[in-house]
Amino acid sequence: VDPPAEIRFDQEDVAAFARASGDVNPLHVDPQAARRSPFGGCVAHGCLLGIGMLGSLPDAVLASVRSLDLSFSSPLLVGATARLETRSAGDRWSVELTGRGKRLARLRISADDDPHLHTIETPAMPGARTMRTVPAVPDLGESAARNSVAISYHGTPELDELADRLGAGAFEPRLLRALAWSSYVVGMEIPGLHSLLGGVSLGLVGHDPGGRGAVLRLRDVDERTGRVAIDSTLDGVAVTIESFARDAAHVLDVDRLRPAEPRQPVGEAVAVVGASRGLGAALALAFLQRGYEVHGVYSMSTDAAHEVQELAGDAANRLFLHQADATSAARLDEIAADLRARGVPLRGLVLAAAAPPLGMSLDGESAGELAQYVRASVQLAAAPLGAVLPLLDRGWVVFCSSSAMSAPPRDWPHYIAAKGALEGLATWLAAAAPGIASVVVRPPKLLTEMTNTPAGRIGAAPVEPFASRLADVVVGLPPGLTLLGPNAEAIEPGEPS
Amino acid sequence: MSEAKSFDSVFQDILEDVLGWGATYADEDGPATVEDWDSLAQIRLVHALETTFDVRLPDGALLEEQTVGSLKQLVAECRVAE
Repeated sequence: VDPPAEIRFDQEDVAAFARASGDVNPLHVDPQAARRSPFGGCVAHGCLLGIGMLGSLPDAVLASVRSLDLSFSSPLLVGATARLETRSAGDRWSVELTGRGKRLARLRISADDDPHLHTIETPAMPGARTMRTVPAVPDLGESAARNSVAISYHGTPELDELADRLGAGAFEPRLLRALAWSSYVVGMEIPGLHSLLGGVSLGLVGHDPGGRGAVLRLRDVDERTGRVAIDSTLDGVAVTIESFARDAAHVLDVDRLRPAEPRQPVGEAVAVVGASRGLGAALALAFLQRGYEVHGVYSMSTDAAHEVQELAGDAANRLFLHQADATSAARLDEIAADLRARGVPLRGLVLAAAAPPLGMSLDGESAGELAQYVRASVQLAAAPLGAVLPLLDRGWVVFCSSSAMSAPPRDWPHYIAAKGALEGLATWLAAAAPGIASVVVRPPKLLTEMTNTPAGRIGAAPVEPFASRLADVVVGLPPGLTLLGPNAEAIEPGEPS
Repeated sequence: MSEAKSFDSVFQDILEDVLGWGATYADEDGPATVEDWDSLAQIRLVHALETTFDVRLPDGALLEEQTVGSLKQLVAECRVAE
């Protein structure tokens, strides 16, 4: 076992691989779009990690590789550091990539052929179409072609330069190209736009037929998890790809957010922090439907905020969206001053902004990352609460916690610690401001962008019914601390009046 | 699946393939004892079991926390039912 080495990819490395492979999926190269993803930022291409992992192997081993298997458990964000650990047992070699205390990827290589790989007959080039420059919108329904598609795939010399720089210059060029191709397939072709790469197996199956292009075929789709299996052949290399199709961002159904009876404007205001996405967006629209003037605060998702504005429909004149960074006290004070100046009394504050949690495991080293996550999460609630509290002489504050608090997921120690801190803030508020209803809500797993991952979406409930119930219940709660459960029912102290 | 291989031995191969080489997995093993058994690994296990044994496991196999033993039982029940 060699001593672990560290590896890290910056935005320029990712841009270089995007150019070299043709995989320009926004999850990797567009910070604004990636921020809306469940990962909260740009993710390094899995196959780029694979090349970095190969780079930790001796040249003689690299030169002998005939097949490899690369599988991913969790993403590595651009700019984050991970550790490489190489192991060998006889003629088997493996490399593990660890970050956030957790295994992120595993590479296994062999000097033997892989008998499990499927070979597809490569048609002659004339039928091949050119590469996409914009990712395909996923279509995995009955209409999705199960037949082979030929594509005229061309790499660039930049790929070899990148491999050299990462120490993988001795790796078989055809296998290297097949890795880049696999990234292109998942990010641009199938599933395309909303996709994740799960793993790649590839191996030499014959000589390079030369100029035959690449061919791919959809083998299998599992609608429960969005898992998609793809077979492909390129330059005498057989490729099997596991990928996951994610849902397109869910558009809220405003009809399901309306109260039982239509409401007239009530002349009171509600502020929602984290109003551009998920539960925050649903609550902003639900209070709007209940006649409130709504002030929504969001940090970066301008496109998502515009969608909320459009969904507000006839009530859009009572919706005020403010862009603010939770770390900017001056900006939050400005928004509070705006609210005061409008003269509409503030009756409620929803604290729904949250940092997306990437799975982690707690050890001595990752503890620092856990602490950073908790700090960022507390800031997202404490900063707006501090700025707006002087405007609330009565009314309520909703702290959006999670039902995960009663069944903590193994890989989310940071999330649980952060929600614990948030609930602590609610307990403090109940004591410090006894005239205010301090409400902790623990929603069930909801179908939002944060849970839009292969495992996250399983068993997730639509957000609208919960948001609608919560908006009805919260306005009737007495001062003091109340804990609301997964059906927005009071499970501790305060009873709805 | 090779006829010569026992159910347990095929199961063990799948576990090694998804969770890592070199370990022997006992029936009581699960996310609590196997570090790499996370939610995505469970999706892969379920898929590999369904493909290998040609069964469709109930949604609970994906939704709920499983162990090696509980997955073996689910597969065995599905094979009988089909």
